[in-house]
Amino acid sequence: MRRKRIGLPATLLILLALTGCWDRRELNDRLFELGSGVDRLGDGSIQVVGQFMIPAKSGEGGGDQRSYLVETGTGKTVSDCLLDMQLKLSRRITRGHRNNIYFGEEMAKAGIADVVDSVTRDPDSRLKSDIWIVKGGTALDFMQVSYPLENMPAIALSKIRHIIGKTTGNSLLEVMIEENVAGSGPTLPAVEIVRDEKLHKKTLQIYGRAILDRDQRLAGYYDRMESVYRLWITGETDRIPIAANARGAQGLFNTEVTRLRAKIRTTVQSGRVEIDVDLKGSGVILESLPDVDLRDPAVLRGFEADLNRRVEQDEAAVIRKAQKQFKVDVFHFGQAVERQHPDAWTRLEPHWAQAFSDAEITVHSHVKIKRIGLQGPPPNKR
Amino acid sequence: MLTTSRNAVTYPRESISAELDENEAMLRQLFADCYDIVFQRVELSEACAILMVYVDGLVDKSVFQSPLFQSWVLEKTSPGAKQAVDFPLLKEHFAVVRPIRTESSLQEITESVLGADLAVFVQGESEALLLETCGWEHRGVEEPASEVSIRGPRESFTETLQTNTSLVRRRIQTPHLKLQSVVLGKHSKTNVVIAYIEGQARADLVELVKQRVTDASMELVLESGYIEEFIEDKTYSPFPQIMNTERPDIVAANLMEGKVAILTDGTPQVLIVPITFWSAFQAVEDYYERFLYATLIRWTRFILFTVSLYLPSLYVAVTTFHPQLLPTNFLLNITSAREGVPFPGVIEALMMEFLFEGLREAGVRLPKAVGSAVSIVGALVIGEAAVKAGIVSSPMVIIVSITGIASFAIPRYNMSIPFRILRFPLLIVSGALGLFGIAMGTLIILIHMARLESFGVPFLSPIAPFQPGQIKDVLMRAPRRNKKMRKAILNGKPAGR
Repeated sequence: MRRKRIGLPATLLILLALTGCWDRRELNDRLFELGSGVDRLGDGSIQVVGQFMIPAKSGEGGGDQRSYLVETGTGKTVSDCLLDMQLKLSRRITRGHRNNIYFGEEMAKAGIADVVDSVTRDPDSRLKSDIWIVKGGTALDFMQVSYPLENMPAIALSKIRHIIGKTTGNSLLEVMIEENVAGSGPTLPAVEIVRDEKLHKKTLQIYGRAILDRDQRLAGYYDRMESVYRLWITGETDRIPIAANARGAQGLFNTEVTRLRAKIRTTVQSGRVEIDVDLKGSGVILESLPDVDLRDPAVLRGFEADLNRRVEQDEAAVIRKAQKQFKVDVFHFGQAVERQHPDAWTRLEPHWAQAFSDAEITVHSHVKIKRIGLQGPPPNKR
Repeated sequence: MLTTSRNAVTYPRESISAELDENEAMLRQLFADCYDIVFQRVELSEACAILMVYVDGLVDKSVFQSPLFQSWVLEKTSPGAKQAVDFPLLKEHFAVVRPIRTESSLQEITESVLGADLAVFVQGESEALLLETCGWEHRGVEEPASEVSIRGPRESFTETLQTNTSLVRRRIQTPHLKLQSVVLGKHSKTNVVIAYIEGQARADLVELVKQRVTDASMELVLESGYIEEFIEDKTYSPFPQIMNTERPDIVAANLMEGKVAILTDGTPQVLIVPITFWSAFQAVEDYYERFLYATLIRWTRFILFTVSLYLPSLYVAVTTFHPQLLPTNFLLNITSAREGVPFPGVIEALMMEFLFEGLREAGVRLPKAVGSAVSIVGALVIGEAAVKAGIVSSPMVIIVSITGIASFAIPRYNMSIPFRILRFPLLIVSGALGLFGIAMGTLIILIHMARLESFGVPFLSPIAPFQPGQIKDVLMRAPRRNKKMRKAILNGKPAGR
C-alpha cells in the first residue's frame, strides 16, 4: 500500500520528464513573425515574406540599425515557402503574434483563396489577422519600407487602422464571413507605398478598399471616399464626412453625417432586378464657405437639398463602379434579394454577378442637417 | 527533541514512612545528582523536626516569611513549648497562606515537588504536607510579536498558563467559559487547558477535542506544535488544519463563535479548532476597522494570495508555451529582456524562487543587527548584479518579488506556508505542461482541499459545501449589526454533507 502510494506519483513524474514530447520552447528560441507577405513570382510559384522582430534591438531603441528582419521563402505552396524560410533562420518561426498579412497585387489578381486556406487551417497562425492588398506593388517592397514611429512597420498599419475608427484584426474573418453572404464579394483593405519626392522618402498609406470577386481574385479598388460610401449601405460605419457644393451661393460646405441608416428595397420583375437604396442620416456642418446665414431655415433647406443631391450622385457612382467595372456585388444586395424574394433568388443566384450588373439601382438620400455650429454667416465675410 | 521512554522512574516504596530520616534518605537517593533540589531540615527540638523539600527557583520563598509560619517556629523554639509537632495545627497555619493538601504516596509527592510544590515532612507523620508555592521567573505580558495590528489590544499570551487563562477569562466573564485541564507528556507533565464556551461549542466537538488531546501520548510537550501534530486530521497535508495565535482577543472571539481553544503551558501559542481555509484571510483588524475597509482589504488578500500561488508558474507557462496570450508590445519587451539569458524559464524561476526562500529564511533566523546586511546583499546580488550579468532576466526578478510581497499579505503565517510549498510543484508542472499543467495542478489541490476536514468541519466550507448564510464573514466582512451569529457551522445546522 505504502509502496503504491509513493510509486504512482513517482512514475507519473518520471514519465513527465522522460517522454520528451514537451511543447516548451523558450522565448530565446523563438522568432516572432509580426507580419507576412505573399507575392506571386513570374513562374507561378509564390514567395512568402516574413517580417521578424530582432529582440535585442527593439528593447534598447535608438541607433540606425533596424529592429526587424525581413526574410523570404519561395515554393509552390505556403508550407513549402515556410520551410524554405525556416532553413535560413536559426530560431523557430512563431506566428502567434502575426496580425497583418500583405498580398502583392499580382498575387491578389491571381486569387488569394489558396493562401487563405493555409492561414485558416494552420494552428500556428491566428484568425484575428488583417489581410491587406498592396495596391500597385509587391508585398516584399512594402515590407521593406521602414516606419520611424514604431519598432515594427507591421504594427504601424494596425495602429493607423485603429485610429481611423476601424476594428483591427477582423479582415480575415470578414473574408470568411463574406463567403457565406449570398452573392456577395469579399473586400479587403488596401495600402500603398507613397513616394514623397520633396521629403525624399517612402512611407506607407492606407488607400481604401480592394474589391475581390467571388473567387477571391482582385477586381479593383475603391478609394477612401468610395469605401465609406459602400460602408453606409452595408451599415458598417457610423460617420462619414461629405463635402458638397452649395448651389445658390457659390462655395463648398463640409458636413459630417452621423446616425447613418440604409434601407434596401428590392423588386424582381421577370428576372430583372430593381433595387432602391434609401439613405438616412443627420448632418453637422463643420465648415461653410458660402456667404449666407445658415440660421435662415430656407437657406438650410437649400443646403440639405444640395447635400442630398451630392450623396445620391456619389453613391450612385460608387454602385455603378461595382456594377460595370468590378461586376461584384459588395453591398449585400444579393442578401437583400434573398431575404425579400426567396423564390426569385433561387433562380437568380447562379448568375447573380450578371444580374447585379444589369440591375436598375436608384439611390434616395434623406440626410437632415441637425446642427450648424455657433454662428450663422462666416464671421469675416459680413 | 524527541525523547524515548527508556527510563521510567522506579520508586523504592509506595508510601512514605513515619521516620523523617528514612524519608530524607529515600528522597536524597531519588534526587541524587539533582543540584536544584533543596532539602531544608529544621530541627526545632529533639522530637520536633521537619524537612522541607522543594526545587530551587520554582517555589515562591515568601512562604517562609509568612507571619503565621514564623510565629509557629518561634512558638516551637521558645522554652517550655510542646515538644511534638502538632500536625493538624501546622497544616492549618499553612492553609491560610497557600492551598495545601496531605499526601502519603511517594510518587505523588515526588511529582508534586517537581511541579513546584513545597513538600513538608514531619517527624512521626506518614503523610507529607504539599503547599502550592509555584513562583518561578516568567516573562510579563508583552506586545504580540508575530501578529501585529495597528488597531486593537496590545496584549499577547506568555509562557505561563495561568497568565494565559486569566487573559482569556478577563475577556469572557461567564461561568459558561470552561477551562478543562489535561496533563500531557510523560516527562514534561505539561498542563494543557481545553477552553470552550458551553452552549456555544457543539458538545460532540468538545468531546472530540478532549479525546484527541488526551490520546496524544508524548514524552515531552514543549510547544503547542507537539500537540497540533497529534490531533490534526491529516498530517500529510500541506494545509494546516489548526490555527495558532498568540492574541487573547482572537481566542476570545473564536470561543464566542463556538470554537475550542487549546492552551499549552510553556508557550504563548494557543491552538484553535476547527478552522476553515478562509480563516487564512481573516486578520484580527478586520473586526476592529470599519466593514467597508475590511472587505476591501480582504479582497486584496484574495487577489494577492492568487498571485503568490500562480504568478511564477503563469509567467513560465505563458512565455514558454503560449506566447500568443500576451499583448504584442508586452511580448516584445519580455523577449528583449530575456535575450541572452542562458537558462530555460522554468529553471530561472525555480532558481530565483529558491533564492528568495533562502533570503527569507536567512532574514528570519539572523540576529536583527545582521538582518539588514542580508537584505542589502539580497537586493544587490539578486536584483542588480544577476540581471546585469545576464544570468536572470529582469522580468523574472519582478515576478519573484511580486510573488514574495504577495505571500506576505496572508495574515496567518502558518496558512501562508502551504502556498509557498505548492508554488514549487506548480512551477514544475507549468514548465512541463504549460497552462494545462497549471490547470491539472490546481485541480489536484482543489480536490485535496475539498476532501480535507478540520475536526469534522469541511475545510472549504462555507463555500464548498455552500452555506449562503455564513458567507458574510468569508467573501466580505458584513457590518456587525447585520451579522447574524455564525454558529451554524459548529452549532445546530448540519454541515450540509
